[in-house]
Amino acid sequence: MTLLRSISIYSVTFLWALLYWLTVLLPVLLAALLPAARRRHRMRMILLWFGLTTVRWAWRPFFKVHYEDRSGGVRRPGIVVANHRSAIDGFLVSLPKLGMAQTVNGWPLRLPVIGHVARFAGYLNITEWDYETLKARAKEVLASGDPIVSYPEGTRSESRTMNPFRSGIFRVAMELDVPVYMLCIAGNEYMPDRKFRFREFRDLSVRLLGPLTEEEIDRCATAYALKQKVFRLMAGELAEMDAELDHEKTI
Amino acid sequence: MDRNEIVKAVNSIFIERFELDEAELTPEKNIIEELELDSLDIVDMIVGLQQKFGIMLRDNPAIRNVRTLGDVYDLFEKLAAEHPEIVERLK
Repeated sequence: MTLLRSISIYSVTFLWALLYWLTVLLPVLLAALLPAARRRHRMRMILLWFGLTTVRWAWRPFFKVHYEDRSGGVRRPGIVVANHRSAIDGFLVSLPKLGMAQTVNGWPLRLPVIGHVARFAGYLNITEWDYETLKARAKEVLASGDPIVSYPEGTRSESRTMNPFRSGIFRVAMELDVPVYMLCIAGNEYMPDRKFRFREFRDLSVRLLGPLTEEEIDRCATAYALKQKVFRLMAGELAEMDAELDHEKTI
Repeated sequence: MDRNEIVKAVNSIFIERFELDEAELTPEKNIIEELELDSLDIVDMIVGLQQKFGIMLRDNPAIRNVRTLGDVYDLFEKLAAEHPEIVERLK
C-alpha cells in the first residue's frame, strides 16, 4: 500500500507540476525581463501559486489541509518561522498566500525549473552564505514588502518533536527589528518519511500565529532567548494541533 | 576567589543572556547538545563572559576546548588565578 500510495501522489504531483510550469512559462520569461525587485516579487508569486494549487487542487484527492490564520493577517513583512516535519512543508507554507522568500539549503536551488525560479525569486541560501550575507539579503527581501519563511530546525524532524532551533534567523529578526510569525504544521510527520515514502494519508492542520511584536522581541536579551521563546510557543500549539488531529481520526 | 563565586558569575551570564533557569545550570551540561546553544549563541556567550570578567577570550585557545558548563567554570578558575584583575572586577 505504501508503494501504491507513494506512486499515486508523486505521479499526480509530477503531472500537475508539468501542467503548471508549462502554463506559466510565458509569465516566467516575461518576469525575467523586469527590474530586479519586481522580478523577484513576481517569481515569488509564481512559486506561491505553484505551492498553493498543488496543496489545494493536486493533493485534494489524497488529503485535506485545514488552514487557520490566528495572526490577524500579516500586516508588516517579517520572519515567518515554520516547523519542519516533512518534505511537503515547502508547499504547505504557501497557505498564508504570501509571496515569501524561503530560506533553503543549497539543494532545492539546484532543482530543474523550480530551482532556477527560486534563485530568481531571491530565496535565501543558508548553507552557502555567511551570517552577514544572509542578513543583507534578508533585508532586501523585507524592504521589498515580502516576508521570509524559515525553518530554524535546519532539517526535517520526521516526528512530532521539533529539533532544537538555530539562532541565525532570530538574530536577523532582532537586528532588523521585524516581527516574528509562527507557522505550525501538524499531521505530516510521515507524509512523506525520510525515504520519501507516504506511509499514510491523513488530513493536516496548518496554523499561522503571532506576531511577536518588536517590543516582545526587544524583551529577549539574545537571539537564543528569542528562539527558545518561539520554540516553546510553537511546541505548545503543535501539541494541541496533534491532539485535535488524533481526536478527529478516532471519530 | 573560590569556585562558588566563579560558578555564580558564569551562571549569571546564562541566566541574564539566555534566560535559562539556575536549576538547569549544572557542571555536566553540554553547552551545545543539552543547553542548545549554536555557533552564534556561543559568540554571545563569549561576549557576555568577556564583559563580565573583563578579559579577552577570543584569542585564548582554551575556549575552543570548552564542551560543558564545568569546562567554563574550570577555565575561569584558572584565569582568575592568573589574572588578579578578574577577582577585583567581580568584587
